Amino acid sequence: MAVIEFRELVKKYGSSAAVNNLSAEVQEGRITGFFGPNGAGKSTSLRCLLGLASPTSGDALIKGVHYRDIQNPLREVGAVLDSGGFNQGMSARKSLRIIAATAGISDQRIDEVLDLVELTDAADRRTKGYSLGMKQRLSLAAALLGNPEILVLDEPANGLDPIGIAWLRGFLRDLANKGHTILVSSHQLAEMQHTVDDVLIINNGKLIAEGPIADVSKGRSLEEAFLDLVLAK
Amino acid sequence: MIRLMKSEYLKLLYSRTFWGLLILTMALAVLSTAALPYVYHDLRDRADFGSLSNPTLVDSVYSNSASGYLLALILGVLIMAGEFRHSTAVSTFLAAPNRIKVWASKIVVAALAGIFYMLISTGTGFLSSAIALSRYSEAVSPHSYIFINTLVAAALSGSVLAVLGVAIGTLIRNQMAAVTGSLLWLFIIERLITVFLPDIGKYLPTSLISGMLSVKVQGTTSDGVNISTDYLDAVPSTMLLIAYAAVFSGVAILTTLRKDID
Repeated sequence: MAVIEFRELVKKYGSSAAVNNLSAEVQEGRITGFFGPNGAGKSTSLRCLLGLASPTSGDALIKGVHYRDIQNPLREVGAVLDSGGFNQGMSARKSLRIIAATAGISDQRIDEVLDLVELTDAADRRTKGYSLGMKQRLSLAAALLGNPEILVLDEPANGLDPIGIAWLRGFLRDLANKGHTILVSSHQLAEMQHTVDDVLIINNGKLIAEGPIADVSKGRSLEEAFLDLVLAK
Repeated sequence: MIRLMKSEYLKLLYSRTFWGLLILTMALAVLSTAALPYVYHDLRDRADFGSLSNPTLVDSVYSNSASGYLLALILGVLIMAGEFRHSTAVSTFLAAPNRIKVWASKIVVAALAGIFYMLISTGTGFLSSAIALSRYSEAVSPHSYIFINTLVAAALSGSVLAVLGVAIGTLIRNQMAAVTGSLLWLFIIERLITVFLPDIGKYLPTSLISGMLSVKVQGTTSDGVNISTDYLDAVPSTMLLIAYAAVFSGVAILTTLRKDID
């Protein structure tokens, strides 16, 4: 069953189309990798999906509705769009309390997600002193606050060191095993090959490949398949 | 809505800027009141409005306690534009995608915070006024109504200007530009208009707040300098100030609030 749908999504900035008639689906309980070169339209598509940008035409839906129409979005969808979305003068715990308050989420759950992303020891430090990896983990903690069924992650591996990337792989796989649906964009193709079940590849705002990773790769590595597809266009 | 308001309240409570601005507001109230008795005392032989034996002058010292409204406006700007400055707008609108509800909760919390600022700073100003006036034996007691007038005007101006600040912060997402623009307008442009075009100046926010205080000092110094004030009465001043906030808010909702969040 499709949990996330892009239906003929178009997003233009002036005369330039960042997303051009994108139609694709993300299936329930699977990790779907969303790949494309820089400027391909991945982040714009995700922002349209999450109601932060208005599509020029078409739709981006979660369980058949727009994100803005979800009653309690934190409990339905967790999202990581960048690692800088916290006031750096505040501690991680305070930042999470502010977000949690919008959904009536308890302090106990804040402790749980901090533990889950292994930030308990740094929870009361200002995030100004956090490494990029710690900020990424904090973003993940925020996304997990409402224990949502669906996760939308834009470049969660950005700036992570090899240990952080290995941690993220195990983390996502563990979530998928628990039945979460995950849509994750990334440039780390070699890494994502071991993480995702399905792939969506876009270039110049258009979908160029979609399906289970084995079908898209056809015996090649994901990186080889990606380069063949993108350069062929 | 209550949850969103709680979230906005926590943003203020946890922010060092909020407490820093409160201290500045109190300092401004002290600065605005402490020097005024000296000025009036110094002018006593050179102006025709008498000295601190004139209760209206003493009233004007106490009413100057409500001069921290500028920082209520700045607080309002920071409540909205700060979301873009700190890149927290994304997490805010992901947690609550209904922008009108988020905005409304910011308006309510900003208005309450504006009242809080003004009541605390005005109380500080009253204390500062009393201490400063106590140095002059000719100083008489103020009219009894000045305290309640000033507190009401302070609370109203604090809430309305904080709301106006949220609207400005919505229209101008660049926090530095919004704060600088507001300061330039209130401190320079509006003052110049009030001096050179008083018939227009009396309809501008700073003059409206003075009008809300209902303290009218009139007179001329021996040098021929007219220091009369010509403000609207308290009720029309209040209504017009609210109208400013409503118009700015309406424009912000209809235009910028719908823009994409970066």
